This record gives sequence, C-alpha cells and structure tokens, in this order.
Amino acid sequence: MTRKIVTANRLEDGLVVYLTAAGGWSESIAESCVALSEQDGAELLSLVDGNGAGAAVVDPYLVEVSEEEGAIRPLDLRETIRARGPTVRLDVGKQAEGR
Amino acid sequence: MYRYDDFDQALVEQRVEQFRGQVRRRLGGELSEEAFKPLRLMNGVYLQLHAYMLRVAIPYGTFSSAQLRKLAHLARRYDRGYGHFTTRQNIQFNWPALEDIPDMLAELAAVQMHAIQTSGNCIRNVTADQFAGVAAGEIEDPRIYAEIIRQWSSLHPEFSFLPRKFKIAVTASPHDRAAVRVHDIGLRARRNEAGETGFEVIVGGGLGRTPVVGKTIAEFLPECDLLSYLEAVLRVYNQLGRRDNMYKARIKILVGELGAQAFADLVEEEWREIRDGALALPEDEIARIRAHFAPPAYERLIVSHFEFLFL
Repeated sequence: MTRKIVTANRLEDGLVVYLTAAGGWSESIAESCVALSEQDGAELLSLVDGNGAGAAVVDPYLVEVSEEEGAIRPLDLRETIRARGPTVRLDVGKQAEGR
Repeated sequence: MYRYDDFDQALVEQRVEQFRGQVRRRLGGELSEEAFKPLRLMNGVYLQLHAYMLRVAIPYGTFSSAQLRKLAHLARRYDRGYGHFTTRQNIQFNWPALEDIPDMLAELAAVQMHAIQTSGNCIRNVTADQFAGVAAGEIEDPRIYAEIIRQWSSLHPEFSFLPRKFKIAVTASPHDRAAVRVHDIGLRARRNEAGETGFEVIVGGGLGRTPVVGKTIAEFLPECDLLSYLEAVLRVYNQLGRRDNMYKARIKILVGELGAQAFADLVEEEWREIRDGALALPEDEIARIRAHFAPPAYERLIVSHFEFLFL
C-alpha cells in the first residue's frame, strides 16, 4: 500500500520537518501524518501552504514511506539521510539527538 | 593582505543592512520564497538537505588571525561549533538560522569579510594556491592578480546574471597547485623574453558530470590587458552561454560546442573594442595592489642551525 508523508524545510532555521496530523510541523518523522493512498497524499500536500509569503516552511513535497512496527521509514535513501542527519558528521543532526 | 578602504567597508555594511531588511520581510510574511531566493543567493545563503548553509568568502584563501577567530566565534555562537573549508578556499557554516544570518554578516563585516557572490550565477571567489606568496619558483605572488580580478568582478553590473556560476583561478608557479586547467578561466603567470609579466589564458575547464581540460586561447597576455581580456571572455559567455538547461550552461559547454579557436576569435573581436579603455591596467595600479602583499619581515635563519636535521 502506498504510504506518503509531507516534508519540507522550516523557514526560520532550515531544519527538516514533517507535517503532523494536527497540521503543524515536527522535526521528528515519527510524528508525521501518514496518507494511505496517492490521492490522500496529494490532497494532504494541497492543504499545505509552502513558499507563500506567510508560510512557515519552504518547498513542501511528498515522501513515500513504509510503516513497520510503528516506525515510519522513507523508502528513498536521500530521504533517509534527510531524516537522520549528515553522513559526514554523525555527531550532529537528528541522529545525534537521539531521534 | 588587502585591507578595505572606507568605500569597501561602507559597501559591505550597507549590503548587510539591505539583507537584514530582506530577511525581516521574509520572516515577517511579506516576501515569498520565490522573491527571496535570488536575494539570499546573492548573499551566499543556500537551503540544503539538512539546513541553511552560509558560504563566507575568503579571497584567494588568505585571512588574518583576527578573521579566523571571528569565524570560530560565529561557529560557536550561531552554528554547531564547526566550519567547513571548501576546495575553492571559502568557508561554510552548515546550520545557521535565517534570522541570525544578518547578525553573522554584520560580525563578518567588522573584520572585513562577507558572503557576497559566493553563490548564484556570478563570478565566484578567485582562487590561488596554498603556497601563494611563499613558494620557491613563483614568478609573482598570484594573489596580487587574484585581488585585482576580485575588485573588478565584485558587484560587476554586467555579470550579475550570467548563465551559470563562474570560477577563476590563478597560478604563478611552474607547478600548478591552483588547478587552473579545470576552471572556467585559468591564468598562468609567465615572463616573456623581455622579462615582462603576462598570462597564459585557459578557458572552459571544469570537473563534475562533464569534466573537461581547459583550452589555451592566449599564450601571453600582457598584464596591462588582463581585465579587458577577461571582460571580453565574460561578455562572449554572457551573450552565448546556454540559459535553457542548467546542466549545459557553463562556459566549458560553449567552448566545446564552438571549438577553442572559434571561441578565441569571438573574444578577440570583443576585446578589440574595449582593449584600451577604462579596464587597461596601468603599472602603478598593479604596484598599488602589490604593496598590500609585501611579505612580512622574515627572520633571517642561519643554515648551520639545521645541520642536526641531516645527521
């Protein structure tokens, strides 16, 4: 089954964030709202205000994920890296903050 | 090293305040990303995979201890305690918050540093090599010419909207440590039989997806003609470089498609019009810049003190 989440970079600090069910933005992928179909994913994305003058985020887009044992994981390597932090500095980023 | 005059200092400070206003409007909801993006790129602010990235220029890789301390301070205060020195002699901060960047730039301006033209489709940092100024066998300190080119290229109104980024490197050693053959323009300083200084001009080199070794289009360009000739090269590129496909927009693609000779002919044609104009470099102007690079008063070492090294 297609599972999609919405991700973006937060305007104020550029950090990677994920759209939550409450319509806010979380730094933790575990808190992202998962859409269970292509259509639901597209609809979710359409509700997000990104790049506009008042938007809190920049360049929102959909990411395909798997949900196993409650853990949300991107299927794409680039998104996996984005969720964890830089591969060249394992001591910084989300990976170092225990997320 | 080069020191800002009042004009340079005022320019950099005004640029910071201008950007501060732009950031305020962006964060305050008055500017969209589409409007803001070209403005932040002109101040070296990228948005990357994990966060914003600020690229600070270190002209030809030369800086003072005061500047280095300031960079360390910025890393500690506004970033995650580290900086990344790049292959083209700049430094990058990988985690700045957008609202802090104007303050970072203001602190940089206080030590004569900036992030202008470190990104975007313009002429970037002019690089030399790590032993510039101290290498045996150097004809001249290449940083003198890097500084001259830096002044010419900074905020050049005609070249602020190039098809793509543009990178220039200068070497004055027989051994090229500046990788001039893989730059958009590479310059090798040399002497002619009369002992005058001039440049071999190499264009259209590059790395990445389509690596190319640059082609020599001038064997010996007299130093007084340096800026007018570079202007001619940039004008030909600015006019003919592709703008439809960013992966085909560098000058290496243009030189490859036209052929080196045809490209050189176009440059020559443009150059004839401007050669003896305002960009002609008089000797006293070169000397004025050269004076900024006078070596420190080196200690006189006595050879016998090192005899122990060879036992």
